[in-house]
Amino acid sequence: MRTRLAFLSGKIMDVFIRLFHLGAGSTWPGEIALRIDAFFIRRILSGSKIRTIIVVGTNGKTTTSSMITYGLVKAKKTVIHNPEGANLANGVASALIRGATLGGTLTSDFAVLEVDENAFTQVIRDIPSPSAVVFLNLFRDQLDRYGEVHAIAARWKEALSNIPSTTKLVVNGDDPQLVFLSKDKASQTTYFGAPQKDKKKIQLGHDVDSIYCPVCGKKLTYDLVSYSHLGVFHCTCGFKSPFISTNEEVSLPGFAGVYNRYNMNGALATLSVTLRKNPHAARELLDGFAPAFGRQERVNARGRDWILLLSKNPAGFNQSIQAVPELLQNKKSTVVLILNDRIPDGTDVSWIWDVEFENVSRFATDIIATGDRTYDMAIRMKYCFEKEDGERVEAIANLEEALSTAAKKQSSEVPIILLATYTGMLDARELLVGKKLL
Amino acid sequence: MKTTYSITIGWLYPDLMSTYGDRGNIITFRKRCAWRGIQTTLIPIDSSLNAEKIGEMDFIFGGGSQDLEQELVMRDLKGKKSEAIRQKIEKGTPALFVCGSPQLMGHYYEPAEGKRIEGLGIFDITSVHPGIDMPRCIGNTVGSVIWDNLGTSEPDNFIVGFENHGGRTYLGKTAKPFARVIRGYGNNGVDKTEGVVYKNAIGCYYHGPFLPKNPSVSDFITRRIIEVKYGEKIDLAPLSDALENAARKTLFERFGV
Repeated sequence: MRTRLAFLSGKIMDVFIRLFHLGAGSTWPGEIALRIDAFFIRRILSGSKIRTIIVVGTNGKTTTSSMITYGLVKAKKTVIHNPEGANLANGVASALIRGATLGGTLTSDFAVLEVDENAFTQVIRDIPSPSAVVFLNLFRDQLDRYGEVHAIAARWKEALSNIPSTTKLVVNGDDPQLVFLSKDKASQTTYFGAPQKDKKKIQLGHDVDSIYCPVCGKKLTYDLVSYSHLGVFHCTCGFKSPFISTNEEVSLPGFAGVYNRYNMNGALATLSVTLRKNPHAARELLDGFAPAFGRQERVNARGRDWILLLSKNPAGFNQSIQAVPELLQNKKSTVVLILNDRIPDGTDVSWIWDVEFENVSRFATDIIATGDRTYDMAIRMKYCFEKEDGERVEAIANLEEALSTAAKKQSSEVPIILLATYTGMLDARELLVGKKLL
Repeated sequence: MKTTYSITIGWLYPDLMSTYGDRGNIITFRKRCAWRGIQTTLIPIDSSLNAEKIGEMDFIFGGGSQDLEQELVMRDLKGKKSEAIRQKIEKGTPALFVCGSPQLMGHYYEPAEGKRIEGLGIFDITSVHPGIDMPRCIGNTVGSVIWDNLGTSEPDNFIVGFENHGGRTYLGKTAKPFARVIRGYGNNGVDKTEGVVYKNAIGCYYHGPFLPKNPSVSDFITRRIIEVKYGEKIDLAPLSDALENAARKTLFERFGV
């Protein structure tokens, strides 16, 4: 009865929100349902045959879960998917409410749910036997909110202790923390990774988090590195990289960077275990997939082409920067950097010093720093140069002015590169294309 | 002919103690030296270093670490390396410890869970985590340096940054605070003190990149290092700190300072 009331309240709210266009990603319907019935998610799922796929990780959740959804739809399945950002318990509940019939029944084949790394423990309590859980990666991100990487890993491991053996775990086998997490669950785990060509004999960067053996605490030996702390590793205690089954040929038009090849291999592994398809057949399901909002998204505005790259933490920013030469086909362009420090961005901007912004100078003709923390960003860029001129760094606190300056400076056909934190991307997108979301 | 100055920097465990942009301090310090023709050499103080090398260092820097890493650090630091660092600080070698590292330089640190960690005892401070359920001290912070006059005018004496610590630090009888808290929590959220100084060593809870937005502290440390090493006062050539000044002004306005 309680659940019924919770559902109806949420459903009415959802219909109301949609009728008046109050925001596609609203979490209110789920919030209301959960306030009325704390076990709402568990109860609405229990009467249904729907299979849930949970996607968790610091970076790549939106892209990977969108890919899985895209693939499932192409395979003629019906799918519920929570929109980006609505990835706490209330967002999950909202997605289920929206996807259910007026009678409160879930008739879809799948629910693909991206889940915030800190909300995972709670969500897995509400969804005790998911069809699959995808672990993408674990990087330091917004320590002001989440605390330290090891603490999150420990909570995840605990949450996994009750998972049934029928749940498939799809795990990034290049991330030592995640390999440790799934160590005792080998029979239900599929490991994915980056293609061989992305793994090189290079030194670890400054954005690393988990380079110590999670078993014995000694420093791990990395034979190959793809980026950050991801790679092929081993320890004297016997802990080492697992066997990884990965697609070598993962490319889509306009879709660059190692991190996207991880996302794609994660999605392919998930599609292949849930649909029981071989990886090659799964690969065809992704033909025609287009990037999500702000993920190497291309827009045309003010007579210029722009490529928008959303980045939220050091590993993400480094990956975006590394993908730029591929996106620009090795040409040079104007670069706009937007650094905000609102709650969704993380209120602490210290992390910009862990990013290899030095690499931006290789493809930037001009650099414009803007956002709430314009000057923090500009100072970081100033110290990227050998000489104390900083001539190529312009600090423009007003976002509109920063964007129009960039459009003025860029005369060629080459797209302007815009790297931004979350709310910076929302604001810039609104100024450029006139609306916040797609 | 002017002397060519050179500074050897010892960086405590760059792999283990660099939680959140700590290297921003090293980048800023070295570039500001380089732009004035002062050479710098960087030596990581880690498990592969022979403790005798610490004797050659003119400046010691330490950043923050997560709890697991903190344990690994203390295991390696104990004994010869601790002793070498203590001797250097006693002789007046300048040092800067930010974020979690001052806790390790105090008498002890009591984490929320697990055993008390004995520190090096350089600073007369003790640090205690009040419990896993107690809120962390997190946020933007502004202080006024009371230890020594860093600049010529009041705003130059202000420091600005971000703090994020679970532990609360209490000053012992002989300890002198580094700054007075204007915005934020400081050592313990109660007594308005921020950090600690001993001889030429500074410890403070400002984490990550402390020096980039506080260039006067960076330059102050540089002058002290030259004084201690070469026995002469040095006037540093002014740099254009327009961006730094704008950053500080914007933040002071935002925090109502």
